[in-house]
Amino acid sequence: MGASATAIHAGLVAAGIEFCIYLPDSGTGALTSLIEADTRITTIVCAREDEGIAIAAGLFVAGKRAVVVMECSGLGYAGLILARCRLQRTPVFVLASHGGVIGEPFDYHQAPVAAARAIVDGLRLDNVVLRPGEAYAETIRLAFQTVENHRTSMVVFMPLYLDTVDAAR
Amino acid sequence: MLRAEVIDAVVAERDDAAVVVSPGASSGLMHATDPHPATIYNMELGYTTAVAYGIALGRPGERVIAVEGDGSLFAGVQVLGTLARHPATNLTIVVLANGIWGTGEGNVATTPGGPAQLAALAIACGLPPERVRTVADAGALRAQLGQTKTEPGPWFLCAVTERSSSDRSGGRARPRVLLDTVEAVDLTRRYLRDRR
Repeated sequence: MGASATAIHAGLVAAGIEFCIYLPDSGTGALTSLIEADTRITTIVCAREDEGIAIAAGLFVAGKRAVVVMECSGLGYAGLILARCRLQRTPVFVLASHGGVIGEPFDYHQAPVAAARAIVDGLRLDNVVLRPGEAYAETIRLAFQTVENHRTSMVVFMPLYLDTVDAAR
Repeated sequence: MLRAEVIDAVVAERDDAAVVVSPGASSGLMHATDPHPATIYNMELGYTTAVAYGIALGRPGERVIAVEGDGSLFAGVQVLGTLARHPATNLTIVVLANGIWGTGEGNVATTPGGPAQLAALAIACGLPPERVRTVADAGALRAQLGQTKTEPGPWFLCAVTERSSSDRSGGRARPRVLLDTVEAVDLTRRYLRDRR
């Protein structure tokens, strides 16, 4: 996810993200390493993904721009807090690995993907899947623009095939 | 002490602090006692401290208070580990430790047990022991809350609270929040924004 991670990180910077709350995952490690090294973004390592979403909600109330980075399984924990955020118009911006439906390489990610899709579909959350060859930085910047201006939560899925895209370059 | 005395102490010592309150009786009492605009009521079970923590991270120069129930705290207890790892020195957590879930008949014991266990849990999660206090009466709670204004936290104040009729929910009378969640959150957000 080297080049993809660099582009996604650039998109977060362009969006003016000030805080990143994350729980480590193999599909996000390259990205969170870049964010950790960026002094413009304060990182918080959370212990559960739903907790991270609640922290991000508090940051929005405080007037800050935040992103939550996680494996998509974490969305499965987060139905209640995401519902609360939606109803009280507190936007949360989530970058989740896997969850893109196409390009899943392992059978053991079926439950995480199913849970994530159920939450996103059930709460009717805006969501975007990063497709091979897209302009990731601009997609991230524009996605956050909608989050902030519509005050609505959004999930951007980052499938593992981003690695493949990088390798092919 | 009674739940109402805990709320009175928080109101008396909050000054301009933003407050996030756990679901149920404490939220209604807080609104009835002092409908301060920077207050988020009835936060979902398990997320009160996490939301307050986020506000504290975003407003490092300003005090933020989480008013937790013991059941709500335990539902999201891992946040104490995160708070220990990334301390927000302006955050105070006040736990109403009455040992029961304040719903239904209010007679089911919470999982973590008594105030001493909760305090030990906070320390085990990494909060500094000198900032973890078990407080038995309202005067002492006010004094501790006063201390949070001058000494950096995060603070974890476990208020030993008696069981009372306000623990029951359903059709019985107990104060309600006269704002909906959208109004309360927007008031809080605007209040914080406008005092910059």
